[in-house]
Amino acid sequence: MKNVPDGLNRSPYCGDPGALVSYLYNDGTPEELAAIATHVQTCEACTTELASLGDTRERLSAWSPPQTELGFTLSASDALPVSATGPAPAVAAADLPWWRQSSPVWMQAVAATMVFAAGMAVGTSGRGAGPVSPVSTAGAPQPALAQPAALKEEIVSRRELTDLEERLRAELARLSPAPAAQPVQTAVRSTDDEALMTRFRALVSESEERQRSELALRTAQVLRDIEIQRKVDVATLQQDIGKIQGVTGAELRQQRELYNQLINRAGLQGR
Amino acid sequence: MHASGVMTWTDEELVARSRTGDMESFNQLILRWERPIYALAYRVIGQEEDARDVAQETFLRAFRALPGFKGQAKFSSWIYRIALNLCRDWIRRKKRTPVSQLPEDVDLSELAAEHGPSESVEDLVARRELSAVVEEAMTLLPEEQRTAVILKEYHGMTFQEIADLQGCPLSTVKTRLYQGLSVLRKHLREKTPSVMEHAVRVREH
Repeated sequence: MKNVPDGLNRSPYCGDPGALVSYLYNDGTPEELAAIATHVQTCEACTTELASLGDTRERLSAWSPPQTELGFTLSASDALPVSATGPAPAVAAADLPWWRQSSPVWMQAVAATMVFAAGMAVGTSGRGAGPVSPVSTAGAPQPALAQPAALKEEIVSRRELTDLEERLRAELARLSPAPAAQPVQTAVRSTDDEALMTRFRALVSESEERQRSELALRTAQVLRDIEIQRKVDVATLQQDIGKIQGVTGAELRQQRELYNQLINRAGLQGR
Repeated sequence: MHASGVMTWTDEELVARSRTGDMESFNQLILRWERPIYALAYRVIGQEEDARDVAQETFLRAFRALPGFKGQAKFSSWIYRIALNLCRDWIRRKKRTPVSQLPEDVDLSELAAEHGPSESVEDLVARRELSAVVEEAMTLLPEEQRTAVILKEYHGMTFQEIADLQGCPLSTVKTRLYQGLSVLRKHLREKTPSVMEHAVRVREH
């Protein structure tokens, strides 16, 4: 455009992208637009360029977004947008208890995994660290170990964990096939993530505390079982020693009697 | 509140009433702006469902941020800014160039009927093909150029408004527009010129 041989190409607007788009969209000060128009009228290159850009603009107008039902509305109670054509939420998300409020899927997955792992840990320790049966070498009936009251509490807690895990899984299953509710969930997330994280941390702390209690309980049980086993073994040992002592005493008596008999016979023969 | 009264109020008046807790006023603002915001989101991110979600989220964010909106900008500029930020977040999340998806199971004869008796199925096909070519061409543009073209071409914003929204000098907006239009022109010329000529001719009638 700078090579237009009519002398007007010395215009500062010639070939200037800013000037061209200003003129193309008629967006500029009146003075600026008038000056550009004066130049364009005498510049074939700029006129051609503008016509070409105008043709492109005309083609761009063919692009329209697909028609879709919108009808967003907000309500004062929940401040959540719902589609006029879609189902309205029965309960405002802000009013829901924390465990029913939406949270990011990754957070739900982590929470479910942690709870599941805690449940598994409790379940495994419960099976693996059961009452230790003292082994008696004498085959005597074993003393029955009393079931501690704390163990019953632990079973209830395990069930609670299982229930919680199932609830989380159900929530995940309920939330995942509902893409239409996604924006609403996303909106709730931003404000409730912190509260959910706090709850999550509390849940993890509670789980850890429960595992510590469980470990202490199991340790005490093992110590008790060892003590019982020790007493049983000591008693058995004493019994065995007594038997041995009894056997040894009888043999001594027999040997003594035999020795006396030999002495007596030897004395008789000597006479 | 009477609905016809609400219809005549300006955005600023509706915003003021919304800030006092008048939900009907805010829903009126939504009604005014949901279609442009959805169109903007669709053109920027290119996914119909996601664009719908972005539009919903835009109004929810706006409603929650309403106490902080002191009227320092026009409501439309403010809502556009929220929408563009959400679009930008969406693009970052997706980590991909937005590609529009045209529905394939559309009855073209029904669509042609919707556009009146003057548009034949052939015309409709040509227009839809041109629309697809434009969408494809748009994906070639960097995000800043694409957004500038969309805001200017389809939302009629001034250079200054676009500069404010994009946070760049006015001259940068003009450069982005010129470069964007140049890329689009080249692509549109290369792709199905006969279809485009036909579509342009149809629109001129």
